Amino acid sequence: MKKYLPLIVGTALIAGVPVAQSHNTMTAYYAPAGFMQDLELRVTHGCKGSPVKEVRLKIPDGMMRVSAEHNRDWVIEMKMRKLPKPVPGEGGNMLTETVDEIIWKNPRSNLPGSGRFEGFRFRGMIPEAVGKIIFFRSVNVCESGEERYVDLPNELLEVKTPGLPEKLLKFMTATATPSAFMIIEKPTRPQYPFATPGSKK
Amino acid sequence: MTRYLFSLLLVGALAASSPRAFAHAVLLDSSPKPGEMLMQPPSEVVANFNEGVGPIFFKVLDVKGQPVGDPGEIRLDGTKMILPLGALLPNGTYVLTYRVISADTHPVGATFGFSIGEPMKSVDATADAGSRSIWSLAVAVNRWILYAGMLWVAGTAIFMLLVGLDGALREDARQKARWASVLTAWSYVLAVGFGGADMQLGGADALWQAATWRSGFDSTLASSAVFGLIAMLLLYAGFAAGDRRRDGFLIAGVVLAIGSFLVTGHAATAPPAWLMAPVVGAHLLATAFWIGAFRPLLLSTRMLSVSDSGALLQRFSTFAVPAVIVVLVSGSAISLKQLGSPTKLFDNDYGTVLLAKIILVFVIIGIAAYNKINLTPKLIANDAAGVAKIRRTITLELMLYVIVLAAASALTVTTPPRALVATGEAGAADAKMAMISGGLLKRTLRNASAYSAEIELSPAKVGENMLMVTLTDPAGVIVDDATALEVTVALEAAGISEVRLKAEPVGNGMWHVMIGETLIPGDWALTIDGYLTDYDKTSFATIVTLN
Repeated sequence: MKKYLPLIVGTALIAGVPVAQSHNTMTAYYAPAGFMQDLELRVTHGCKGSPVKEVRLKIPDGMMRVSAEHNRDWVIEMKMRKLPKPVPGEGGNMLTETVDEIIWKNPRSNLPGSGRFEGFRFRGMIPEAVGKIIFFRSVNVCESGEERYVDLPNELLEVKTPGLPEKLLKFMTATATPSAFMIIEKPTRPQYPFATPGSKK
Repeated sequence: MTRYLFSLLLVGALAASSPRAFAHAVLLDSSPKPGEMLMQPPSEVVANFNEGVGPIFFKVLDVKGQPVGDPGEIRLDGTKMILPLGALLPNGTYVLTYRVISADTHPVGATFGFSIGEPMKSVDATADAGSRSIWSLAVAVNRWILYAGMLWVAGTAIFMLLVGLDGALREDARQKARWASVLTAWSYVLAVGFGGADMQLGGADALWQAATWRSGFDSTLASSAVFGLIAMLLLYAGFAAGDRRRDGFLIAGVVLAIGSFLVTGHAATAPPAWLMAPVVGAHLLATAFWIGAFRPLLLSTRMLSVSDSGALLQRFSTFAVPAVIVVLVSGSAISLKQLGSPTKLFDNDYGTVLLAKIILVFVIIGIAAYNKINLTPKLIANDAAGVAKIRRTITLELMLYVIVLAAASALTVTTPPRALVATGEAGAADAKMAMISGGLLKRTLRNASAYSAEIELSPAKVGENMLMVTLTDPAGVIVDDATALEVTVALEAAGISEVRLKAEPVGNGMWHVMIGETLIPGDWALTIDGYLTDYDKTSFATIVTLN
């Protein structure tokens, strides 16, 4: 009897464990280097059935001029971080700090309902780093518990990494909590309304 | 009819008077708290539980294990246990250790360190919450004899009252039941002594020590023994007496004998006691009837004519069918109550024993059904061929019942999942408590980013485990401002994967989590995810082997 106990327990546990792994992702997987870009973090589910009341997003290093889209349901907070050295901003003034974290809060949120997701829209200047991959780490704070989508790949992943698609897929499924990511690509057509790359002003 | 009504009322009264008890006493708070550094020496130490407890011992020890502080008498104030200290303790590290019993007679204990005036040095705690003494086997074996004896005596009485016995069969039943009642009476007395020795964690000579018996008498075992001894006296008198006075003695004896089993044990004292006690009582009554029937039925095949024996079996059957239904219904109710959920049959000791017991009972019922449907009609039809067969099947039933009773007595010394859950919840509710350590597994883990995690797992055995984690940064400084810490446990061999648990900070960079999933032996994979900030995770993995 003892011999088969683990088998029985195991089967019962597997049967009860949800197989699907969905997580916070970026709505688009590609972004043009050096341009202002509208971005969206997509939140598809809460914490083991508990609704999301707060979403925290860490802005990746090198991403400047970040702002969040006004949202009638979610109160938006921004945390700033000091820049190592001031950089020129729009209109010639020097910027000493930049957005570090965007926090969306809604105590009445019932995200997720069945078959629904919510996009958290913001914008910013994509770093001039063609071929690099940037990671958007985010945290869902739920009514009970938290889910931190902050895992990073074990090796450096770039466009030129051999077998990148497989490796990205593996990264997304290896753990239950991978970070959202975007691949920075070379701009292939003019971008409007900010037609000029930010750093080449 | 009034006789039965009377006995029903008496069972009810017993149930109502039985102590309301939760399975195990759980420490809710203490002074000093585990690991606490006091600035002043305490004048008393206090442990506060979720229910009233009976102290077995409560001591303050120095690091060498010697009692210190000139302790006075242990006082009880509601759920609080207070030990006054006559002497002021000098600065240093001390160990507080206690062992108490709850209403279900399960001894519970814990040991933890605290310090006065200086940070605590590491202490190897030795006491164990659920540790079993050398006496636990004696307790279980005695309980087996007690079950068999009590059910035999009470069962014979019930059989005589309901089915009726005449002539030589009755003389035999009366004689054997008198012997059994004497044996059972001894067993009741020994239960107090063995129980006391078990609670005290006594040595081989514990039965000759007054403290052992005092512990026994302070527990519910004493009231059980008092009920039981009176019951055995009444039953003995009933079996010895002439016919006219017999019935009254027998009824009162049966009721008290059943009652003696309701004032103790975790089945009958499980909340709500007003419901569980009568259910357990019904279970015992029906079982007793069944067991009391074996010898008369077996003997009848030898001493009576085939058709008379068949007629007796027929009379027995009219009561046996309702008795089986009562056993099954009450048994299911008790099992469900103790387990919490049917799946708990499979992943712990209590469930395994219970499952074996249930399977055996069904085998017995199957044999009984064969006897009733196939063999009894043969006997009534005066077919001698049935006699040898029914003798064999009844003997087989009896042997199986002996094993069932062994399983039943094993269950009484095994903690049910219901109680395990209660302990777990309270443990999680107060992270600083439950510094219970029997075995202790200490390990330092280092990861690729040069962070390290010191883990302590106790008791590092199959069952609920407590994990303490301390993170250290690459410079060797303890991380005391981490955002969160999560522990994932998995046992791939058994298909148990990714059970994620949230640890609670307990101060000084220490994190605490109770792991209730580690209920089966094997190589458990432990992953520790420390969140240095909301977004920066540092992970560690290790394998712990639990037996």
